[in-house]
Amino acid sequence: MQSDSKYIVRFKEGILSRTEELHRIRTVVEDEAVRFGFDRETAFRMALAVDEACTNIIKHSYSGNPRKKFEMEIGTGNDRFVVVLTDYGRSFNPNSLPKLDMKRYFELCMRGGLGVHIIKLVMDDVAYHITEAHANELRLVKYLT
Amino acid sequence: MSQFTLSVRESPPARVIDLTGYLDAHTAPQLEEAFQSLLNEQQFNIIVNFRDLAYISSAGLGVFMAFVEEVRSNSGDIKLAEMSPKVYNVFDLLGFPMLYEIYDDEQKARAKFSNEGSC
Repeated sequence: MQSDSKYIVRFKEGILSRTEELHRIRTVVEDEAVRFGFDRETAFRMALAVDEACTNIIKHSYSGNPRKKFEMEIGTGNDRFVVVLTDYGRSFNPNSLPKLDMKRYFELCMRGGLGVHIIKLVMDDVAYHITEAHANELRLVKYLT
Repeated sequence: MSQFTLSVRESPPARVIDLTGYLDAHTAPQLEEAFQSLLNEQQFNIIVNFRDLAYISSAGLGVFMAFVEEVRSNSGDIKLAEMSPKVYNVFDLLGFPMLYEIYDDEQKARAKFSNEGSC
């Protein structure tokens, strides 16, 4: 979190890399987003974006290994709501994917890639970097405007 | 906690899949199995009723993408009906109304199948 962020929620014990956890994650994100001031519809979409990011960690970064854990922190600073996801699996920068052309996607009946597309459509900033501890850190930001 | 249930019923000339709850990466395999069973039975006129579905993520959307080509190549279709505004917004966000017919009433989807004359 940046220095002006006010910490809201942190799963201290980490989250098991299991799809069963997605429901709880969405509930926390949506409730905190509403509490911060977003309308229900926007909060629903933010929870969707975080679901997609967590699903990518579970399925791709950790390749479905249910014993692995990742971390989630939610913070706020001025007018922004920030979700930071940290995992220790395979590196993947969502910004390395080209923007999806949905017309072409449908014409070719393509598969996959929708999650990252949703994250970029919903969130205002999507930043990825590898920490000094060699963790993958994904920072999702939504501004109250 | 039961996050998601589905059931399949006959509604000639289609089969209807009723969805309830939350369709995400955890529950999407159940829908995938239901579609696969229908295709194994050579049932290609499929309506999905979303009336009681509260949530869908890309894992759920991906199931429709996985089967639409095979269904249409067998002169059938996957028609979608009775979505809540929240669920419709997810489909709309990605432009899915370009590819799928979405009806506010299951009856209209069934009538479209009847008018198309396929069975």
